[in-house]
Amino acid sequence: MAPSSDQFPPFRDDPPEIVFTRLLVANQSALYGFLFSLVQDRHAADDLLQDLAARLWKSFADYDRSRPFIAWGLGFARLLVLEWRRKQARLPLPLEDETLFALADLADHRAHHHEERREALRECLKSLTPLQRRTLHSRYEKETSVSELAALSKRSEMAVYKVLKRAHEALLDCIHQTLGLQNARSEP
Amino acid sequence: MPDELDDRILAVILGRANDAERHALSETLATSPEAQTRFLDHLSLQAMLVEEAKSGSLTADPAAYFGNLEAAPIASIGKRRWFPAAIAAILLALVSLAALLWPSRASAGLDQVLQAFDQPKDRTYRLHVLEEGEPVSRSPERGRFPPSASLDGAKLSLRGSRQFVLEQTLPNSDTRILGCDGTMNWSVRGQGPVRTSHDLSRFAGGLAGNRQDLAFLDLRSQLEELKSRYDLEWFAGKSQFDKDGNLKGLHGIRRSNTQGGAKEIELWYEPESGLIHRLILDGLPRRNGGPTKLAFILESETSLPSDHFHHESHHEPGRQVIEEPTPP
Repeated sequence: MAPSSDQFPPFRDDPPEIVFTRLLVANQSALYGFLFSLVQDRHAADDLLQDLAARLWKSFADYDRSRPFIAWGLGFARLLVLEWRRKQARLPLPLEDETLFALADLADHRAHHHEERREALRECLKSLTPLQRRTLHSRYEKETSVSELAALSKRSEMAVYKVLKRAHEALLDCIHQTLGLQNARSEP
Repeated sequence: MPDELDDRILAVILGRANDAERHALSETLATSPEAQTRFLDHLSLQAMLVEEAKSGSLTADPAAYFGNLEAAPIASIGKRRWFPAAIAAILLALVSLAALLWPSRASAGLDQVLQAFDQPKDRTYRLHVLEEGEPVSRSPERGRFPPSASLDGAKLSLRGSRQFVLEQTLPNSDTRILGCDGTMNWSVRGQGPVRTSHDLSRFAGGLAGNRQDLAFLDLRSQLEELKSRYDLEWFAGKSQFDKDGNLKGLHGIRRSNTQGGAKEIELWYEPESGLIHRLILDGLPRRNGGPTKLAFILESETSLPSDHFHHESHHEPGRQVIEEPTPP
C-alpha cells in the first residue's frame, strides 16, 4: 500500500520543496479522485490537479504539518472545483449548489480512505473476465467512446455498454465486500 | 438500489446520455442521498480506472504492455510516444492560426500562409523544456514504467505539413529518432530495428496535452478548432529576441478547462511568410510527468537533404525493418 501523508518519517530537516513533493505525490491520486468526481471530466481533472499543485505550493508555508495533508489539500480542491464550475458554459452534469456540496462532502470522506479503496480495486480487477478487462482498458486508457469501442470490436454499442456496466457493477460490489461493508451501497 | 439508477449514472459517465437524461439524473441526485452515494461510487471507480489504465494494470500482461511501449513507439496510440510528432502538427497549425488572426487581411493571409505551408520548405527547431510536470506516484510492486524520453534539447525538422524528423536523446544515452516521410511513420531507437507504420492516424494519440480525438492531420478543420478554443491578443511592442522588430507576437489563452491543450500559447512569427520563430506552450496537462511548459525555437531554415525525412537516412544500410500492421 502506498504511504499516506501521515506515514512518512519526520521531515522537519528536509527542505520544504522535498517535503511538499513527497506529500503531494503520496496524496495525488486521492486529490485527483476528488476532482474527477466533482467535475466528471478527466481532462478538466488533469488541469485542475495542476492548478491545485501550484496553489498548494504557493500556500505551503501556511500548512500546519500536524494536520493531514489530504485534508488541507481538499479544502483548496473544493474551491477550485467551484471556480471551475462557475466558468463553464456547459457542465457535464448540471447540479444545484446544495447537491454539489453534498457530493463534495461525500467525496471528501472517500478521499481520506482512497488508498484502501484503490488496493481493493486492484484485487477486484483479478476477478474480471478477459473481455471485461480489455474493454475497461480500451475505454479508460484512451478514453475511447462506447461507439468507437463497438466499431473496433465489431459488436453493438449496447453489447459494449453492457460489458462496461457489468464490469463497473462487479467491481463496486467486490470493492464494498473487500472493504468489509455490510451495507454495500449505503457507505459514504 | 434499482438497476435503473445504475443505468442512468452510467449513461451519463459513459457519454451516452442526452440532455433530458442528464437533467433527470441531476434531479434524482438533488433529492436522494442514496443516489448521491451511488453516483460517487461510480465516479470514484471511474477515476481509479483511469489511473489503473494509464499504469497498464488493466492489461492481461502489464510487463508485455510496458515492453511494447518502450520498444515500439509507433505501435499504439499512446500519448507519450507521439507527443513530439503532435507538437509538430500544432506548430504547423499555428502558422495558419497566426494568419487567420491577421487583422483585416485574415482571409487572404490565411490562404497565403496555407499555400506557403504546403510548400516543401524546410525548417528546424530546437525544443526546450521550461518546466517539467510532477511525476506520478507509483508503487514499487506495480512494475517498470516506461522511461520518459526527454524533449529538452531535441531537434525537430519539418518539411511542408506532413514530413518531420524528431531527434532526441534517451535517459540511457541512446538516440531515438521519430519521423514521417509523408506516407509512413517510422522510429529508430539506438541500434534497434526500424519500426514503420502506414497508419498516419496514429498521430492522433499524441496531441500535446490535448484530446486524443482531435484530427490534427486535417489542418483546415483543426484551424477552426484552434480558433474557437483560444482568446488571442497581440503582444504589444517588440520582443527581446527580435532585435529588428520584424516579428509579430500572439498570446493565446485557452477559453475552457473542459478542453485539453496548452493553457497558454505564446507565438512569434514573420508576418510576410507565416514562419514561426518561437512558440511556447504553457500549462500542458501531463499527469504522468513530462513537460508542462515547452518552447520551440527556430534554429535554421537551411534546406535539408531530399531524403532527410526517410528512415534510411538515419541508420546504416541493412538494419532490420519491422512494419507494424495497420489496424482494421
